[in-house]
Amino acid sequence: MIKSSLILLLFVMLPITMACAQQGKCVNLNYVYPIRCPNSGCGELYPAYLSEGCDLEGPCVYLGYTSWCCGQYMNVQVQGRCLLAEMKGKRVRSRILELAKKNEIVVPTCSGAYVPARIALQEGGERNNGGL
Amino acid sequence: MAAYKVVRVLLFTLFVTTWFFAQVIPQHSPQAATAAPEKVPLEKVPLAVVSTVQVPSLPMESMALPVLCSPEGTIFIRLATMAAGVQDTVSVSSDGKTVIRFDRMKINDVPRPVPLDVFLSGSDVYMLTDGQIPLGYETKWRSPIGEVESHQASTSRTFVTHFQHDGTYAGSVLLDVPFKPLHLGIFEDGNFLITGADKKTDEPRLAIVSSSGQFMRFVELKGDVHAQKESDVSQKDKDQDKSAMPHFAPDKNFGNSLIDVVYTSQIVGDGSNLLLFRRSNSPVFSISSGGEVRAQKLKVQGGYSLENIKTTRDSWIAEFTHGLRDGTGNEFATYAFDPYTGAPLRQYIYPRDLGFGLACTDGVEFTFVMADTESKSLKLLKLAPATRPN
Repeated sequence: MIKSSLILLLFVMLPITMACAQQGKCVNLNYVYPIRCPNSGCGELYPAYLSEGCDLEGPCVYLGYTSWCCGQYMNVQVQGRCLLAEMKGKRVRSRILELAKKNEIVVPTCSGAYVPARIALQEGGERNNGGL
Repeated sequence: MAAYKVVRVLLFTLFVTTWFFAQVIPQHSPQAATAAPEKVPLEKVPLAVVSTVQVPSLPMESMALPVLCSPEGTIFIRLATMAAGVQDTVSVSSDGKTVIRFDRMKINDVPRPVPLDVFLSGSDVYMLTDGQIPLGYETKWRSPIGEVESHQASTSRTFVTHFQHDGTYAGSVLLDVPFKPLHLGIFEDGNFLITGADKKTDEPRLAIVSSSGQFMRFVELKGDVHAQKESDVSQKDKDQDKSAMPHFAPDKNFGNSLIDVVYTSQIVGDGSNLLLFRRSNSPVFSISSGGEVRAQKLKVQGGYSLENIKTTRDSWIAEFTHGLRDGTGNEFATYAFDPYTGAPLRQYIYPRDLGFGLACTDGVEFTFVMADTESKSLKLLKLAPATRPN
């Protein structure tokens, strides 16, 4: 009975987490839930496993250190956090923004100047040094 | 046991759901807060390009900041590519001819090493490095569809790894700190300054750690960023507490959450002290090896976000961004500050947009890493005051 409830709960939670992802938000899927690329064309299964006796505070080992989907969404593993983030543009752009989540990444602009990825890749772009 | 698991999953479900809704609700960004403008007459220093050095062996990829510079003018870069992520540190001599790779494959005493952060001590290179320590037994892993697999159990540990300036690997030290280490600094006496985040709350942590890796003491930073309390703090309180930040932020506000700011903090050397600064409204913290802290707010107009600091003998050279009022983009600005008052001393005016690849400066000459869009490789641009003082 309890096992059935657990399975039911997993299947209830999965649509919720996917719904979160579809709104472009990050969802913490630590250890528990399977992550499947929503784009069925090139999606792969990236299961996240829960070890016996593992809890969120223990020395829990995660498998598949980093992986991402090639579809509309990517699966990002950041310092043990498993996140889903919406890919808003080209794959490269998303990959760089993924790296920028835990590193300050600068990208070269057309002029050759390096600009923070979170600024260069956001809507609106950048402007030259204008001073105060 | 089974009931315990159900309770655990229910708690986790509640956490995920709560966290999700926290994402949906628009968050207050402390960087949007406006401070009173500082009306100080500023010396403006126009800079002109004095030399360009091509580095044909390095491609014009993205880079992870900070770009570092040794006392000899050697530049240290971490390229970031789509395929490989953040790559190994490489050093480039000032003439662009000598490139040395600090290869993680040489780290022979840390299992599966993943460098997280780099700090230069003299010309030697130290890296905060994650490793996976085998626990000596196998664990059974249960997939959500009921399959059971056996895998070697291991746990993540953080090390300080050391390379000599010529790329020779010199060894590692295992860190024993009660939080997740994210950034590294090294005092002149060899002790480490480690900043990171609490494993449960993600609140920022700072500690002095002995050169053998043993935790010595926490360092408290008054006025540092901390998590915004969503439940019991009024809007007025939020406005007054500019160091409070939302735990997470929606992707559109990437860079404005506590986690973003804590993960992208920087530690730089400043004489015998180390500076810790964050991309936020918090002060610059100058920390001694004894743990004394001096918090110095940089006096700039409100809304400016600190991006980078290079220290010189008598000033801090700081790069800022500022969102334009019409929301069409960002403007960048570079100033020298008095380290003891936080007052701006001068503003540097570039001949064109040089971006954030500032590698070296002594307050007079500036060397930027730039992308050469024609050769698809890197180049080093050196600038000096257009009109040198007599």
